[in-house]
This record gives sequence, C-alpha cells and structure tokens, in this order.
Amino acid sequence: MRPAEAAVSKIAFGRLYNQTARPLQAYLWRMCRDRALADDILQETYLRFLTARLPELDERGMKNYIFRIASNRLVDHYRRQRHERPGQETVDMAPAPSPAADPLVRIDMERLMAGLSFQERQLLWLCHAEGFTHEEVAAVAGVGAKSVRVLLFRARSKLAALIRGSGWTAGGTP
Amino acid sequence: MKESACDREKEILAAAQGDRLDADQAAHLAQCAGCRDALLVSQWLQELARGEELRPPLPEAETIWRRSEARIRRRRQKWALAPVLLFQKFSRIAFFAAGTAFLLAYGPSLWHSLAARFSASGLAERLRSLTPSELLVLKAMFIVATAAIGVMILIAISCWLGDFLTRRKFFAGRG
Repeated sequence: MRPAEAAVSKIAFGRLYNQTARPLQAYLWRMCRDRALADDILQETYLRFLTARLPELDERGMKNYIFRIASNRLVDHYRRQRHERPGQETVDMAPAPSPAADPLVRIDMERLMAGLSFQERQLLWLCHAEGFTHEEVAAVAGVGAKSVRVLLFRARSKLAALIRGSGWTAGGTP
Repeated sequence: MKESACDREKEILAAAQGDRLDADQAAHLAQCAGCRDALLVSQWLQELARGEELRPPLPEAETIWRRSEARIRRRRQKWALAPVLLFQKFSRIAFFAAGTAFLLAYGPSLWHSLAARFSASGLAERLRSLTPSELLVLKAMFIVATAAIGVMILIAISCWLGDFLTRRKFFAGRG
C-alpha cells in the first residue's frame, strides 16, 4: 500500500488532540489499568491516526475513529500477550490508585469497576462517561449495532446491582 | 424479562442530569427499573470520570506530530526503495540459480575435459619430475592463491551481509 500523507493539518491535529487526548487517556486507563501501556497505546493511536488514509470525517467522526483505533490496539495487545480474552474475562485486578477527594470512596469505585469484564467496562464507559451514541459505541467496540442495546442493558444491570450493593448514592458517600 | 433499554431512557437521563425532570418523567423514573439503573450507573460513572481529570501529563501534540512525520518519511523511503530491493533480491536469486544450472549442466563434462587435457599435455609427468624443493614452492604458491581467493569471497559475503543487515535495521526502526 502506498504511504499516506498526514491525514489532517498540524493546527487541526493540535486542536483535535487537545479535545480528545485526555478522554482517551482516561478510557485507556480505565480499560487496562496499566499507566505505561495506556500511554504507549495513546501515542500509537495518534501516530496511526496521522499516518492512516482517512475517509471524510467531521470532528466527532475523528474522535470516534481515534477511540476505535485505540480499542483495536488494546485488543491486539491482549491477544499478543495472551493475557485475557477481552469481552469474556472478569479478572481480579488491583484497584487503580486514583486522585480523589475521598480516596476510600474512589478505591471502592475502582473495585466495582474491576468486577466488570473488559467489554462491559468498555461499553459503559463509552456510553455514559464519554456520551457516545449506541451506533458510535458499536463502531468503537466492534460489536453489532443491535447487540449494543442488549449488551449495554446487561452490563448496566450488573453494575447497578454492584453499586447498590456498595451503598453508593449520587452526590454523596453511603 | 425484557433485555433491552427503555425507549425513554435517553430523554429521562438528559432531563435528570440537567435537573429538569417534569412530573411525567419523574413518575416514569419511579416505576421504570431500567431507567433507574441507567441513571444510577450514569451518575456513578461520571463521578468516577471526574477523578480522571487529574491524570499524569500527556505527551505534547507537537512531539506526536513530529513522530508521525518521521514515520511517513520512513514509509516513503521504503516505498521508493522497494523496486530496487526487489530487483537486488531477484538478481541474487537469478545469479545463484543460473550458476547452479550451469554447474549441473556442464560440470561433469568440464571435469572430464580438464582431466583429459591434463594427462595429454604431459603436465602430470612434469610434476612427477620436479624436485621436492620445487614441489614445495609450487604447493606454497597454490595454497597462497587458494587462500587469497577464499579471503576475497569472505570479504564479498561479509560486505553483502553487512549491507543487508544495515538496511534491515534501518527499515525495522520503530515509529
């Protein structure tokens, strides 16, 4: 395949990077809970984005595209490392250290997230923390658009039960 | 049990997050378990996401831009050199194939012809008539010549290998 020119201008990239890098970092961190890996994938994602042949995309489309590259890279990484099968594992991972007003509450929250599978975390995070539509979530996560509603419903029910079990309430600690 | 989100979920979430729930929406929220789950999970994840804002510093956009430029440059070089590399590879294979074919085709007859000429020219008789000291000098000359040819072949192979490895390392660079 012929090498591509830079897909966007330098200024446009700077703007896009400022808008998307922090949410992408949070997403990757939430998915893998490995700071070094999240940073590696973040950089590789933007490099791939800049050197890829892009279809015509608006800013929102570019953001989705970036999240999609990152998700694919993450899945590739897990496949290569033979760690776990994304979408099926529920591994017991240590809660990530998180800077927050109340560290104990944060650790509880991290623990609840660790009770979800990779795919459940991915769908919930994209939908509720990033505000992606179901179609966008389907494209980024690589699942069928019709399956997203059901998968999301199941993941949400599971997390809601975990949250209720922890006694968490909106706007305050239990 | 219905395994899909409520149709009013989007509307309820938007209203609840903006504190704009009207009586109808509030009544729906009170009776719809799906919407209650959605609201709870949404508030919980947004609370969790707020802590993500204090994550470690990101690499500069400029750095990523420069790395992407370098990667594009490397790809262009690789693309430009591809026909040359392909030709080199092909010519090496063709050379070895032609050499092997020649040896297989003419090797035995060449050998017999040389052996016949050697006996016909009387060279074997002349070698037998040489004194031991003359034979020693001849042997030394033969060894030196063979060694020189061997060294030249080794130099040629190492040059080719060095060139190959350098190019391989250059193109295998990360980025």
